Amino acid sequence: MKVEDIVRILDAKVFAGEEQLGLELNSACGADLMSDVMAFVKDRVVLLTGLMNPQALRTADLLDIKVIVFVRGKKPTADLIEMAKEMGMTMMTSKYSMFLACGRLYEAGLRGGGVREID
Amino acid sequence: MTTVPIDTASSPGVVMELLYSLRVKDAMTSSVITASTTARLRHVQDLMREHAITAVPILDGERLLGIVSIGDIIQALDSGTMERPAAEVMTSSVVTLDEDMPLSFAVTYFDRYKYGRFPVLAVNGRLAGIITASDVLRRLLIALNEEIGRMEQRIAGRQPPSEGPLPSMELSFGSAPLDFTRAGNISARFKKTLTEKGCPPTIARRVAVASYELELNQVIHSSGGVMRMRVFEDTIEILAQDEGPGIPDLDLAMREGYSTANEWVRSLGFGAGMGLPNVKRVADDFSIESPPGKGTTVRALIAWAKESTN
Repeated sequence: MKVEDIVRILDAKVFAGEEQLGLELNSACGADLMSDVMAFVKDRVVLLTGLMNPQALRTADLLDIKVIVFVRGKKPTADLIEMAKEMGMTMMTSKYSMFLACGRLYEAGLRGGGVREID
Repeated sequence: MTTVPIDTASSPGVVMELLYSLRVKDAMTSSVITASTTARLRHVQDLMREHAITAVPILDGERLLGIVSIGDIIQALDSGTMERPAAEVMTSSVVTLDEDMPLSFAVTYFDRYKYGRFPVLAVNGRLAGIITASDVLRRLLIALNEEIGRMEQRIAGRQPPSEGPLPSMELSFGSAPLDFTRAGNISARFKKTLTEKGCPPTIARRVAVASYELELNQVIHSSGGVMRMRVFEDTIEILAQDEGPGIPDLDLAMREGYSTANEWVRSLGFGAGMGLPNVKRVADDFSIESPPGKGTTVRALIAWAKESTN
């Protein structure tokens, strides 16, 4: 799935990184706690989160995540947009809740990963 | 006069590595001549003459409040105000360096701000030392001498260069308790250094995860600590050492989902209770010690040979 497909499916507004709209992604991760993102190290991931602060971007950057989606219509501040640009990251906001945003991407064929056994 | 004639963007690799691995505290002068806020300028001038220095930090206890430079003294001599207390004429918006910053910061500061010296603060905010451009150059010259000595030995002994995928190196930085604006910067630095040296992304990411979780643990739970990365021929070692208070129940702390973080910390996106388990998961070797009442030491090794399996 391409970044531009995600923008369309999530009815999202892009704030940074328009140049990466053609980037191909393999999976998605939806989390508000950054250690949960850390537990999910994969290539070509889109991160969906309700957490809007520099730590969300920093976590994504450390994991080479190039696309971040803020859910529930949260608009990023100018600082965060600037930070995303510096990191070469595509940043967008979707009006959908976390549940709906993840559901729509899954329905459109994007599959997650990182299914782990419960012990 | 006060600039350091080293370009931090395009200097040779060995100089850049030294500037990143040496810290401000390695080069600074720690015995600082200071004066109190009530000291007369005449006394400050005496201090400058006696110790052949050109500026005196003004303290309240151990807290830095300002600095009086030789320029201020000249002005006071000119206007006949040498009996005024230091607090009235000192510059109070002082640009400072942190003792754990890489020396590269100091080089940048000397070029950016036209001051002859910068007071250096310790993690707890007290004055730890003072650094001048010649301190930086002297320390760098010593380090370069050692490095060139090693290079000469290597050439003379015809030892082959390091066989590892990356050159051996060591980087370490201090973390500050509850400083969430800078939290994660150390890990970002580790990862950037590895990536720039050509480290495969899968390995750099594992190092990033391990160091980020440990760094955040120090920021959230400890009263400050040090993060160190060492690159060896076959492994990368991340060592996190803090000053306490330590972990009461290690078994619980290693359990996924267990967290002692408060609501405020959770609202910032931390405290998932996945920190230590995440470190253990990405590491090929993991050890943790946290004796009661002492600090916590965590060591994570990431080997070159084993590729990430998530």
